[in-house]
Amino acid sequence: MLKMSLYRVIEAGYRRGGRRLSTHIAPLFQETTPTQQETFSENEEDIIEQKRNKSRLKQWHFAKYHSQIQELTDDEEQVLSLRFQRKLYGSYGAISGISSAKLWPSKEELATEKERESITYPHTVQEMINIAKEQKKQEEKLLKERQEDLVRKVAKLKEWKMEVNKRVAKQEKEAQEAKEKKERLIEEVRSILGYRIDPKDERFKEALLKKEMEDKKASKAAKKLARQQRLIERLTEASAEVPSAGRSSTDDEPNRDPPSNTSGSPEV
Amino acid sequence: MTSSGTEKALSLLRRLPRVSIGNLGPNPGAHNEKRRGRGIYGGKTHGAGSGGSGQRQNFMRVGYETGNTPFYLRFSYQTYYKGHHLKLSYTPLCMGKLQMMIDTNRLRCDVPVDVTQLMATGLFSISPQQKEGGFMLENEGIDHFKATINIEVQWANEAVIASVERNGGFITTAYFDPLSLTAAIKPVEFFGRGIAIPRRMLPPQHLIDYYSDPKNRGYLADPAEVARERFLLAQKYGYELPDVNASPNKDILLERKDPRQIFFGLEPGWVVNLKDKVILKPTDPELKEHFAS
Repeated sequence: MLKMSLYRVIEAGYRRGGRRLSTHIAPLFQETTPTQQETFSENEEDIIEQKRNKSRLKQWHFAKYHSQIQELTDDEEQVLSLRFQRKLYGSYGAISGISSAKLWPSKEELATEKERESITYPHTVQEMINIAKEQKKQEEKLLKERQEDLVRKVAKLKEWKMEVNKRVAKQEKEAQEAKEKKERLIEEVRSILGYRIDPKDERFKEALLKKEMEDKKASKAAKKLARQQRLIERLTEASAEVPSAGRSSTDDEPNRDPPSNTSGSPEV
Repeated sequence: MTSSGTEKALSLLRRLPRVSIGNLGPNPGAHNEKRRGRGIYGGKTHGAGSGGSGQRQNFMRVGYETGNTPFYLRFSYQTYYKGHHLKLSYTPLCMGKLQMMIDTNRLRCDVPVDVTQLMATGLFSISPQQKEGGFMLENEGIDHFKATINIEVQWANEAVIASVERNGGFITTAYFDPLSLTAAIKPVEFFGRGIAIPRRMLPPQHLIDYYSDPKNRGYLADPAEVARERFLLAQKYGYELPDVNASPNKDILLERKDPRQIFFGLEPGWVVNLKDKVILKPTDPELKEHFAS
């Protein structure tokens, strides 16, 4: 019988219920090798061996049950993922035919891993320990500062309380005084006009104005009077001292006006 | 003239060999045996009541509060779980349970005990994907803990450390990052993946403090300081620290893992195959350097 190479083209389709292409199960292109159930083998013994298998199991079920594995073809090696091939080695061992070089990270994988580590773990152990210590120190420092600040503030607390009370009292007093003043004004205006009147009223303001003017005049007159009185007093003092001519030189009195100034009207 | 009830009772007493619940029954009419209706004509309303929206099965969505903001929408977050995704949780293991496991030969203490050994008892489940860090030893049963073991867990407090060391044992707290922990808790599955044993990664910044503290017997702490703390703890709790050099299990008790090591006796970079029972070691200098770093 001619030896035939069999090729099977399998479409990378979706298995029932799956969302991903099933290339990891069934690659796109496969050169089928004569399996146990192929009847193309020439050897009589092989054919007899096939006939001995009465399990009626499917070929792949039989293989799975007996932990048999066929070595991967070149196509399969390229298509199937490294992860899957490593798992085959892990389950079946050396008979899987997987090269042991595939078990360690490839150059690309190693580079990726190193990069990931440099980002995820940028610090060495010592650095991390130092950072932790620094953080702790910082926390303690902040706490200590806060505590000291509080102690200082508590010392001043009594003083602040007193100040606040004083301020409040002062404000109250001022308010009270303003109120009283207002009342007094109203009373005065009332005494002038003869009836109580609202401070906001025009007549009140007029009356108040009148009163202020009168007050001013009165104060002016009072000032004038006071001045006159002072002058008179001075004059009387001067006249009192002039007769005593024979006085000691230890007279510390300041220069007095000479008697000639006593004539005429008082200075205005 | 006795009532029928009394007559019945007396007749029961006469004929029954033993009066028990199995022999007695309720009087007729005592229990209302209402039979639930089933099917299209049975039960009439099928639990929906009579008429109205209820019978028409016209339900509002669950949680709806007829227009006002419902309770389940009022609070978009709660402060009590802030940062929960950054914190690890640990499987509690009481000292009493540990003692029980050792006494019943569920856990062997003639080898150093670590996560792998504890998981091999089959009594615990740890899922690193759910942010579980491993085992933490608890205080319950420290008074009657009597075993001498070399144990490695992920969290332990002072009292637990004292109880282990009092009996001549050693305790270490070690951090396992999630991938390493997955390998450590299920080694057979891990070796079936056919990959090289990875290096164990360092703890995150917020945990480095704990694992570098000799008081916690952290695996990153200075061994000399750890020894000093052992001595001080013995003084604090008032026990005599047994001399490890005199014990027959000296080698086992003094065995410690490298900070990068996951399994005792296996280095990072080795490929273990359980089918062929071989260990393959890398020869490429770059790989060797990477796994030794």
